[in-house]
Amino acid sequence: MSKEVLRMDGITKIYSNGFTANHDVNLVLHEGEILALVGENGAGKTTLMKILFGMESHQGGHIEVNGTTVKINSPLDAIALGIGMVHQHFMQVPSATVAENVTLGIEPRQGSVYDKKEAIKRTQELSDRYQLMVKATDRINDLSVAQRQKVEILKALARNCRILILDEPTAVLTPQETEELFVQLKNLKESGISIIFISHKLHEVMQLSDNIVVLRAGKVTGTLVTKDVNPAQISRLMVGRDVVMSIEKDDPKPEDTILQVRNLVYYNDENVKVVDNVSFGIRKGEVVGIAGVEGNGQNEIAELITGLVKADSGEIILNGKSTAGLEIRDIRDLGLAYISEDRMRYGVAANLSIRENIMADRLDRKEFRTGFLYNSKKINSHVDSLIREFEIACDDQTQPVRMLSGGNIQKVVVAREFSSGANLIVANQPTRGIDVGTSELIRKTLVRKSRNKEASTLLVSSDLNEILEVSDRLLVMKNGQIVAQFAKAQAVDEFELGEYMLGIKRMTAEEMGDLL
Amino acid sequence: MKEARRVEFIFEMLRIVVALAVAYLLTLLFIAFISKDPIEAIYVFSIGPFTTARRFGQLMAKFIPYMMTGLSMCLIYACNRFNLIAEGSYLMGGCLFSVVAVNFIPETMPPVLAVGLGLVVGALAGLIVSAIPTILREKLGVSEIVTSVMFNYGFLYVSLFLIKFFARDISMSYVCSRLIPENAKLGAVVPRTLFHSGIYIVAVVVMLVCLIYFKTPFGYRVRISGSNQDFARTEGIRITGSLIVAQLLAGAISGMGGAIDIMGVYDRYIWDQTPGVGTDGLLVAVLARKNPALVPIAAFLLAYMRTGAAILNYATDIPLEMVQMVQGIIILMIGAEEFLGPIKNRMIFRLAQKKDRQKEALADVNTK
Repeated sequence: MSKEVLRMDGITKIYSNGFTANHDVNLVLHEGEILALVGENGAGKTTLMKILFGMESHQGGHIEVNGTTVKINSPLDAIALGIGMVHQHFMQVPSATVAENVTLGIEPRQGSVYDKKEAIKRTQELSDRYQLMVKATDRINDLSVAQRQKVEILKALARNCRILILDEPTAVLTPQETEELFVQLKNLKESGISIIFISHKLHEVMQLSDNIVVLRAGKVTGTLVTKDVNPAQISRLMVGRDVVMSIEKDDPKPEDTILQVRNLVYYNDENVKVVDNVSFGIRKGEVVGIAGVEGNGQNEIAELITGLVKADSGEIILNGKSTAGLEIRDIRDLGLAYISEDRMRYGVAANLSIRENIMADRLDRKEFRTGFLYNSKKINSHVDSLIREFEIACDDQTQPVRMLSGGNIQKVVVAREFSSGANLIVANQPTRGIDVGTSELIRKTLVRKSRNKEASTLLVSSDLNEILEVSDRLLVMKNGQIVAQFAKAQAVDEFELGEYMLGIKRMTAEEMGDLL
Repeated sequence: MKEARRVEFIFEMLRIVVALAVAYLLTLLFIAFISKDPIEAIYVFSIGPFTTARRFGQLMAKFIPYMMTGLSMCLIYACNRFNLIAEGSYLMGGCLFSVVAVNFIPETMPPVLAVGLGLVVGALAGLIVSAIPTILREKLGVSEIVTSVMFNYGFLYVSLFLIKFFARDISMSYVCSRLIPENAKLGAVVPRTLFHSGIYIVAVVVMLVCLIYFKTPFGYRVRISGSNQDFARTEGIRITGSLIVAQLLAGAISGMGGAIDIMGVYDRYIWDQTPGVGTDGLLVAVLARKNPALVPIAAFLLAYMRTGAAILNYATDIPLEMVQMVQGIIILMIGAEEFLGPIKNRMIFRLAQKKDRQKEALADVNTK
């Protein structure tokens, strides 16, 4: 066995809200090893790695790097110890070049002046040596997500990293890009760099890793040698039972059109055309999914429909009325509910109570008032019934939302949006980063509401499993355009979908059929 | 989770109590060092405000306006704005009331009407003053910190101008208004003290603000908008309107506070400097943790300390400035959210550990 480079021993992390993210976690990493850290969303993988990278403190246990016990209080400490981390959200200066980003903070100098040539030379050398295929002189703005990820890896390598942490690197990649990344990671491994790879996609773990550490609810449930196990075994350790991926549902029986989007065009703040002549419709009784690599206009479509941003041209007709020039309040009153992708920013007021958060979209309803004043009894019973219905784990409705777990915060959001009486729900990444139970509840509710004709859904999601199982009809977006439509989402092949998402294939208008 | 919340609450309270205790102890320590007769000084400072009816009246005369400006700053605080215009509103409320009272209130007007008119004038003045930084901020994005502080200063000179040209008593050697007519004054609750019947008006205002704050759609809108604007917008709340109305209301309350103070305490308008009561409102609001229901307690505490200091100043050899240092310490400690934070986190950590162990023990029992 090769040299041990990292040992995390008995790591325990409890957040100040009392949530135990890691409980007595042990992990050992050897030189030139690819270790997969697997677990469901919220199992504590990212927290553990943030502790290793000095971004979070821990209360129990200790960390050894190359056999000596170390204290890592900040990312600077971690970098000095040769630890590098590629986050899910890249930390880059978009208007600067690759070389400038990579050498930021460790700039080569000639006298006291930034040595641009040397920076480009060093960056390009690194990129070539590990065959990362990034050009040092390109601007970050012009790069694809996959290339930007390579820039993050370069940043770590330029700081002489020997232990590289990758936090769900494939979440934003298409299947083809994933293959490419894996080849490059294996190159890194050959040159003696140890890699910790966070994932919850089992086939990737099987393909790439040497060893596996499985986390469940903050605890290690298994330390395995990859070649001796099969995916089913890992999955049982991850979730305690075999993962049930499929949602059972009847075929949809679409009726009249609820939402019509026609020739929608939107330029973002940087004057990039992020929504390019998009038209589609949603009928009563169906769930329409929009798949796509993140950043191809799906999020903007959701924000345009909800009125958070205004279209440059084109129209949106909701329940027979154009939403042009309407305020968000009016659009909501036409029958819209919205689950935002960023719940802490757009979904809740974290310091206020569950009661206030649930009431936020229904403040003007007369049923809660006697005269000018709110009737506490009516409000309390309304909120309590929602807390029971959505099984929000809390003390009572006066508890501040910030004290709840991520899954329960999202339950507060969906309890409000699902009970608003809307007949169109725009669900933008509704289950991102939350536990299995809550995800299942949200997905099943979306399907149920469409089947009993209560509300149709526009689902935007990066979770392929989710978008394929929950959607009836599936649209694929690439570069702000709709490039494919599938009439039956559950029958779509993942790899075929990947080719549309990446832009390798594109349907003709005839192949897509009627979008409206 | 329930324990975590209880610990948070206990520490929130503990932080305020400890902050006050530390500030108080420091003051006592100071007195002990400075004074020739420390025991007398400490007695005067801590018990002084309650020793005679006159001194208690002084305390109440401070308590009443502190509540008004405290409520005002609570509302602004809830908007998540640093609009310090409560000071300007308070000053102009008092000033415009005086100008109107000495010029337009005939001695034959029934007191109820005269006082009512005074309150309306004060509130209107405060509202108009507050409208300047508020609308500049909400409509044009101008920093309200800069404009409110600047206008507070500007309005001091506006008030002096108004008094000099429209209400000045030329028989006096300093700038002041003519005598406020008797029918526009608030009578004493305790005879021959400064404890005046403005307390009843303030009590009503406290109740109204609490109702508005906790029980109306408007109150919810303000709190949600102030807590997270992006969220409020997403839920279809008209943020700009709510925040403007809340800050105008805050100005009106402050202005009314200024009018009440003149009506209850003074014979004539004499402020030739900004009285500072509006800015003290911020202190009250911070002490009350944005909660208007706690404003009376916070205002009383502040009034008590200020009165003790004033008595100390004229009854002993200790300067007033010392007490201003104490206030600094209080603000520092209450404002510092992480004060006692490490102890709190350690306690929450232990609780969670204990809970984990209990769970495991339970699981063991179940498996057996």
